[in-house]
Amino acid sequence: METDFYRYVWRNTRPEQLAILGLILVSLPFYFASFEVPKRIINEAIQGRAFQDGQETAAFLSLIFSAPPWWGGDRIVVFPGFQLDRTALLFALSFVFLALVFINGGFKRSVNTSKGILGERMLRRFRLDLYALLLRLKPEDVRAMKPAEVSTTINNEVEPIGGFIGDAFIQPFMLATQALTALIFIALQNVWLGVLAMAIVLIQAFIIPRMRKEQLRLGRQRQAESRRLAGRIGELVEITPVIHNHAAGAFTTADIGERLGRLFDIRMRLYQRKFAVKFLNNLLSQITPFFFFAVGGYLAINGVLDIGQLVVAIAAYRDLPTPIKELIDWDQQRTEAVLKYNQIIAQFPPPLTYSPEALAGRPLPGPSEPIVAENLRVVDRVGAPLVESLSATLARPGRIALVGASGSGRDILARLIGRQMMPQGGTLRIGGMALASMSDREASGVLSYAGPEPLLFQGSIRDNVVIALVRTEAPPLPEATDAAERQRRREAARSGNPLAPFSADWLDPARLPERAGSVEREMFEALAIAGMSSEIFRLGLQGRIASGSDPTTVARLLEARRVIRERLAERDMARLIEPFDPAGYHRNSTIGENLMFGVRTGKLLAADALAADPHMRAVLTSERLWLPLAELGKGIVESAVEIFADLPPGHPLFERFAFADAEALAELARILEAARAAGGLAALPEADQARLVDLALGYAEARTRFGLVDEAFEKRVVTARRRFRQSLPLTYVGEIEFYEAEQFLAQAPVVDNLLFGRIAFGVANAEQRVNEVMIETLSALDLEPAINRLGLAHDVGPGGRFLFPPQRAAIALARAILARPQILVIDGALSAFPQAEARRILEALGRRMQGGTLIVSLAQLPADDEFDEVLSFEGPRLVSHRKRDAAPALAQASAENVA
Amino acid sequence: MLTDDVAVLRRIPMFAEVDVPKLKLLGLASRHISYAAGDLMLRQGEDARLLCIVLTGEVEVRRETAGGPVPITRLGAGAILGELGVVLDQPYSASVVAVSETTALEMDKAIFLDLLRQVPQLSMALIRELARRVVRTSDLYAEALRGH
Repeated sequence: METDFYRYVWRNTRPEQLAILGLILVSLPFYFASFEVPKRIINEAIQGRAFQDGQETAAFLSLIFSAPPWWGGDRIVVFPGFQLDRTALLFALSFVFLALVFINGGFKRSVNTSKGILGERMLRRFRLDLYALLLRLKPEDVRAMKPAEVSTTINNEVEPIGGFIGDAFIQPFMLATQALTALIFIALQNVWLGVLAMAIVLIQAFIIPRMRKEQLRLGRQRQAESRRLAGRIGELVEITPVIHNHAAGAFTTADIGERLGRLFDIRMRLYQRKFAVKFLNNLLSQITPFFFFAVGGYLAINGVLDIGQLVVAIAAYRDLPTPIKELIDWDQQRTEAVLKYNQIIAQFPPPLTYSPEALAGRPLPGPSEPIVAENLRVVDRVGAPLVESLSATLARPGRIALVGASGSGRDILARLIGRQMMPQGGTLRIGGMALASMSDREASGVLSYAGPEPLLFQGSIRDNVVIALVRTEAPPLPEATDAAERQRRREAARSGNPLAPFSADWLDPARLPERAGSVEREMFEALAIAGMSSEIFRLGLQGRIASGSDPTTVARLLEARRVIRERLAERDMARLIEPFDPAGYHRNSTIGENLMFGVRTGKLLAADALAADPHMRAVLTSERLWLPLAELGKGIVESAVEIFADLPPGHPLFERFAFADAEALAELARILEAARAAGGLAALPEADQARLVDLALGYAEARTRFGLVDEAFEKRVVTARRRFRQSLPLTYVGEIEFYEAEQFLAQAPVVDNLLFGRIAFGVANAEQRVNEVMIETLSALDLEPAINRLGLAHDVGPGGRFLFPPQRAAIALARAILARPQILVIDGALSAFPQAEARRILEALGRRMQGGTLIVSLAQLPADDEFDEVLSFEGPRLVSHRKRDAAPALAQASAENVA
Repeated sequence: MLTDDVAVLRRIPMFAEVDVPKLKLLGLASRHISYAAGDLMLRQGEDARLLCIVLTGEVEVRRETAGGPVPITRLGAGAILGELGVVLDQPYSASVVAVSETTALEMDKAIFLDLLRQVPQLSMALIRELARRVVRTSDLYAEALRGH
């Protein structure tokens, strides 16, 4: 990355900058004329100087060149002009002035727009360059950065620089030429006025930048403090669960409070300074007219200056402070932008550099070329050794175990081989190629790494896995067919951005070895090895088939519904499902779901505020269910208060099983207290009643078993359900899709469509047994792939937060094995799985990596050790290196480590 | 109903001294499951992700061997199953099959461990149960030694 701001800008924007500078030069004569014409209006037309000596008319738009006297004093008349009387001349000159206003405005607009666009383009380029720089950093340097700080830098901090880039060259040129034009004009009217204007300008130019120095320093301080605050907030957001867990809210709030205080101090001083400068600036520009009136007036009275000259000199001076002030502003912005640029560049450590051969892609090492470590040395930030003088040769293909305590050399070697860090001394090679010299493209063709932290990004499971198969270079661009696309590409090219859109087909099946199957098959296979198959299917069942999707899929799903029902009945498993029966109460659903008896499809009828819905409220009132439901809500609160009495607020158990959080429950308990005091629930305000009703509407007896719903109540709910549907207002059309036995529910999860009911609570292995029937049926109807695809489309959430830790780990693992690498490094990637599952996955990985190299870091060797090589570590030292069918190479390793 | 489950739990010696609200919490945090005779409740070698408290019926604990399943013991209401695997974070050491129609409370490992941390009465109940088993095993061992 270029270290000099101006060189960076000039190199990337030279042609555009030159074009705008040219435009400014062209505009100057018009700018000058905008001072000259008013003078002529006053002097020639208003004061009538062009009509002295009895002249009736005066020339307008005449073009006459007069040679200086020493040249002979000849007059060359190019155009004699139009002869106009005094009134006509006044209007003609006024219209010329008006035309100049438009012309100058037009120039200004063109220049400003062009430089604004130029700045935006550069901003786009700068941000992309910074991101590209980030990708070239050493992995350990990236890990040491705070993500929130980096994103603040790339996103926010560069913004003002982008704004300034357009001004970097153009603004001073434009302002200086304008100021100079005005100054020259004033001096042409009267030398002394010119000198006066110049003197004031110089005073401004001298004092103000000095006063602004402190302002700049404070600005930098504010920037640094804001960035630290952003970093800290980002960090605290990450550890919010820990904060809740240890009730450290007050503690962390104090930290943020203190930082905000520091920021406030800086900002306060900054404002004081800023307004002091502003005051001085205003003072100087306000005082100047005094000199003009006094000195200029004196000269006019004495006949040295005519009134027209004085008026336009004052007008020209009015135009002068703005460019001067803006020039001073520009200088401040320049200093700030250059400083900020340097600061931003300095924030990024030096990037890795690759040889052109590495970037072009050299022939990769073969699958049997060994991994050779020579004298590897890694130290931590305080200089303590993490790996000491490690030399070893790992034969390939093979299964290699790195054994030792967590944090010992086993982790470091795994990370070094996985290119998650770089050695500070020694070399690590695969065959003849040093790992440190390999570009991402080369390395990804040979090895893959799965670490202890499953790194996922917001998107579908598919997106997260398939990234292992994206093209390393942009896909070929088809011919642009429409103007918008051509414009998009032109703009991307102008700011050095990639032309290929993100929506292009980035998948590169060529990254799979020849023996591999289709991308989708490979993806399912990788997920199966990671133990994710049944989860994908389960997530698929929870997915929704988009409305307007393939009608044959919908028809087959309805067919599957029928077949599943038949099969369950045949196998005496019908009791495992409670079907949606319009005539009966559905015990595995909540009371609210029973009343609606359908799927919400719009914005109305939100589950957590059903009681507030006018239609629901009307139905409950007319069916006389409102108060009984409030009574039921009261029962829930009483039970919850009794059961959760001793749990601290915010405890996970509370969150999971209470029906409201601790605070809401306490509030509800207070409502009950008020009801007791007032003589019953009926005396409560309606809003309080609604809260209890909402609680009741979310209650399902089969799940919670408080014994609050009996058969008589169920019947009343079913009656109310009918009324709810029959009296549904027109405004609710499109807001709900009612359960209909023969209809497909577009907004309901697939599983609801297949079962048209719910799996019964409390029957042993019900879900598993029903799933088996579903899989069997879906498979027979060739629907399984569609469901699995829906599962793959499941959103993992920011950082994978919508998934459980083993699911996250499985996805990260599937990604690592998808491209069938020669070398697979499993570094603590199985720690999220239960023991037996981890063992099963490891066995499956062993089978998958047959003929390749599998490197696994372990705390201890399993009893059925099948590793070809075992490297054991104690702290940073390799203490033994055992190869299959060979005596432990203890002596050699120890000797090397002692040395 | 939760109150029925609590009534059964209270009859189990291990929970006899635990307050009703705590037993309700235990019941609420569990799933009330019915098993038909022959249903597999826990499978040997699988990760211990949940434990069961038998409320009614009878179950058989079996050790899976190369020669087929070997019955170890039969247990009835009040038996806790899978708790060792849950506490030790190990796979189940034996399989459990319902012999007759059985109902049980099934609780996820994480919730059970959380409850033990939060409700000392439950931890004490478990400690007492495990201590009882140690005593019983020691007695059996002593008897076996005397027999030799």
